[in-house]
Amino acid sequence: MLNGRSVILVAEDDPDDQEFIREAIAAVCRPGVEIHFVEDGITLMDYLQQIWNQPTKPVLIILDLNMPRKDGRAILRDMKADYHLADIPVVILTTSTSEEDKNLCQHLGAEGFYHKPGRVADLEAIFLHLCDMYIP
Amino acid sequence: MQTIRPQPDRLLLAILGTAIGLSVLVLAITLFWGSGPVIAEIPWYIPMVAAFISLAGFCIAFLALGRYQVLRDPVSFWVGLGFATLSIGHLFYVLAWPGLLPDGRSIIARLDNTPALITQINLTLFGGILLAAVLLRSPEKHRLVGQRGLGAVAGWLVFVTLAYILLVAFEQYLPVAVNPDGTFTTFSRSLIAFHLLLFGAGSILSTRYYLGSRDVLAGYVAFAQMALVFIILMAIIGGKRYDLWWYLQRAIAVCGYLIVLFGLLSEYIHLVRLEREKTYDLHDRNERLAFLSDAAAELLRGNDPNILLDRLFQRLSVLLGLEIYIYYRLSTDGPFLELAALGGIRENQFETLRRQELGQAICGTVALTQQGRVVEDIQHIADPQIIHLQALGITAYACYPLKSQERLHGTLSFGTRGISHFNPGALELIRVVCDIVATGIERKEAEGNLLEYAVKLERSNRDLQEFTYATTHGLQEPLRKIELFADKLIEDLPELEQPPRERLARMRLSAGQMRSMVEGLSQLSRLAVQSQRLEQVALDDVVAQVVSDLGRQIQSANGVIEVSGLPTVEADRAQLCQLFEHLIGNALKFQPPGGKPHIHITSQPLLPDRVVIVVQDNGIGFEEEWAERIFEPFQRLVRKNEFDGSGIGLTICRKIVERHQGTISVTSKRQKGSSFMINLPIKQNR
Repeated sequence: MLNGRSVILVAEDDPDDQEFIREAIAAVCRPGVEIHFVEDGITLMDYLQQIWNQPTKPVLIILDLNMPRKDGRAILRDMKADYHLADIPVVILTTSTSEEDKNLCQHLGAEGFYHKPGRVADLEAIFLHLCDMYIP
Repeated sequence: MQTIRPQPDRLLLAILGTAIGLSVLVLAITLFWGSGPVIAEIPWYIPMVAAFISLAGFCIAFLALGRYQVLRDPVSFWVGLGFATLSIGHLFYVLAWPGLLPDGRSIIARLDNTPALITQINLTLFGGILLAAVLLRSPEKHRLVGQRGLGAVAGWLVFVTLAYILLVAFEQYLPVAVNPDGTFTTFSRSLIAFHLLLFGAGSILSTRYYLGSRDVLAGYVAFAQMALVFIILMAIIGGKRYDLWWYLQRAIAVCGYLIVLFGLLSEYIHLVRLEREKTYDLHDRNERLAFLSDAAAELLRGNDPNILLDRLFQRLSVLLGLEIYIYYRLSTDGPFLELAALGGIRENQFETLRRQELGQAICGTVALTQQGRVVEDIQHIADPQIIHLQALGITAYACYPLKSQERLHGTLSFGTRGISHFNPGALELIRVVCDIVATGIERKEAEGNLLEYAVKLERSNRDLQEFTYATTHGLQEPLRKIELFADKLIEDLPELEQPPRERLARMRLSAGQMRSMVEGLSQLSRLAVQSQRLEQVALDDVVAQVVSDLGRQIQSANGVIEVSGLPTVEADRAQLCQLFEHLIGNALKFQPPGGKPHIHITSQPLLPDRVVIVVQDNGIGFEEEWAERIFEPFQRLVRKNEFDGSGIGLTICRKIVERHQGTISVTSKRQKGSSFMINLPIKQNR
């Protein structure tokens, strides 16, 4: 939290999905919530290392599994293994419908696992729930 | 009936010659040195001859009946009977001979006057029986007596013996054969004339029969009858005892007996030899048959051709005395043979011949002409082609092409160092072995091709499934976005009127349906390529997890799910979760409006190693005739907009069940509900 603003870090490479997410969060979350997009796993890790020394950590990380350069599953594993990053809640938002992926992410410690829905209302419902849970 | 042609046997001919020679000698002695009365003074001379004749007769009868046992021909039977009867007669002749005992009487006193009569009776019987031999020689006519065989002979002989004994009792009533002065009585003479007729006719018939059939025994019978004719003629001419003709008769009789005896003996030995040869032949044939059936079994075992060849060679070498084999394979690179296998020769001895051109040496020519070649007596032939064979000490060699389905695979040759000529049976066997090896080679090739093809097919299949998976997976993304953008559009344009608004909504719906279908296809194809992770899965747990995952759906549908005692099976846990998720999801979904879904999941054991799980619901059900088609992809039994769904859920369920080596089926009644039966093995066969 920095100046009353919360930062949600979203790792999503598709510009359309970025737009959908932005609009959904704007629709259901309280004002003052900032969204920061990163486009791949490497950029994500760099960003996290950057703010490493600062007290402002993101309150929530939305992670897509199928990303270029570094796979979302590997990111999740690395994050949860890092003592300083492990406490940031990570929620998976992915196109993958694989049962194995769901089990794997749960096993690795993700706080949530959602399929990207096809309806705006469903997407808004997801973020409503997440904002309630994790955004102070 | 087999006709035995006697093989010229030098030893037996020598014996026969000696017998005839001796007889001639006896005759000569009798003629020139013995004067009638001198010999007549030896009381035992005549009975001795008679006893000898009796003994010889019994031997002849024995041999003839032995011949009958083997050949079952009527002539042998009658001859045996005849000579046996004759022998008994001569025995009584000896018993009736006067002057044998010290006091001048005969052994059986009452027979004193009867020796001549006994002879007459004897000859009558003998002649009659020999005539029967020729007249009743056809098996049909002979059958009456012949079937009882030796029993009949024994019976007849007993009868004859009894008859002679009766003679003793009634000798005074019998006509006299010889006058006190030694001449024959009228009765005797008429009997003699009758004998002449008997033996004369008999000898003519026997000779004709012999000339027709070349039956050796018929020949002897003809001879015996002719001799008797001669003897009788001399009796008529002579008419007196102890004169020259009388001795001549005796000598010829002895001669004749000896000839017949030795003739039969030689034939008997020949027969025995034949039998033994037949036994060897049979034994041989049995061994070969056993070898062939073993060879066929070896072929069926489907071993590598080299192993097959080695095994067959082991047996063949024992059976035929073969010592080496050489197997050349036709090269795929060019017109030559390459050495593939060797047996009985050391590798280094054959170095120069690892490769042969077609047309070169023996194996090369065999491969070129595709005809077998046999070389015998190798050590004594000068031929440049076989120098290397000579060097190896081989004496006989056979090389055959290995051909199957008109294709040449190579050549196979066998050789021996022991014998210089193969016998035809051996070559036949070798040819069979070559055929078997050729078939083995062809079969192995075919197997290889089949395997290659199967691997290709499997790879192609996998590629297809992977392609499908990648494609369907990729298609879902743009579809989702179409759906979302359509959704957004409807939101962004609240002022839009109903018809266009409605159209946007239907566009959104179609996009969603398509996404659902593509997602379903993606799941289905993924099931085909995915490898399963098998473990012991408690189905109770699986259902519990699914129920928990579908929590919201169950709650909003007011559903009740009852589970009772599900077993544990070996399976892929994730796939079974998918299975139950679809089945329970369907049961919750396909309800009439306002209906409360009630789902029952139970299980039953089936046989010792399978189990049936039943998922029963109270939903809308369907007609029984759709029970099969409902598992096909995109078979919708309800109106498109009534119920959501990919249309492929049950196809996925079937795929999962089939990948677990199980089966799924359903029974249903419209408005009453459906019952899905899943048959699974408790253990998976990997």
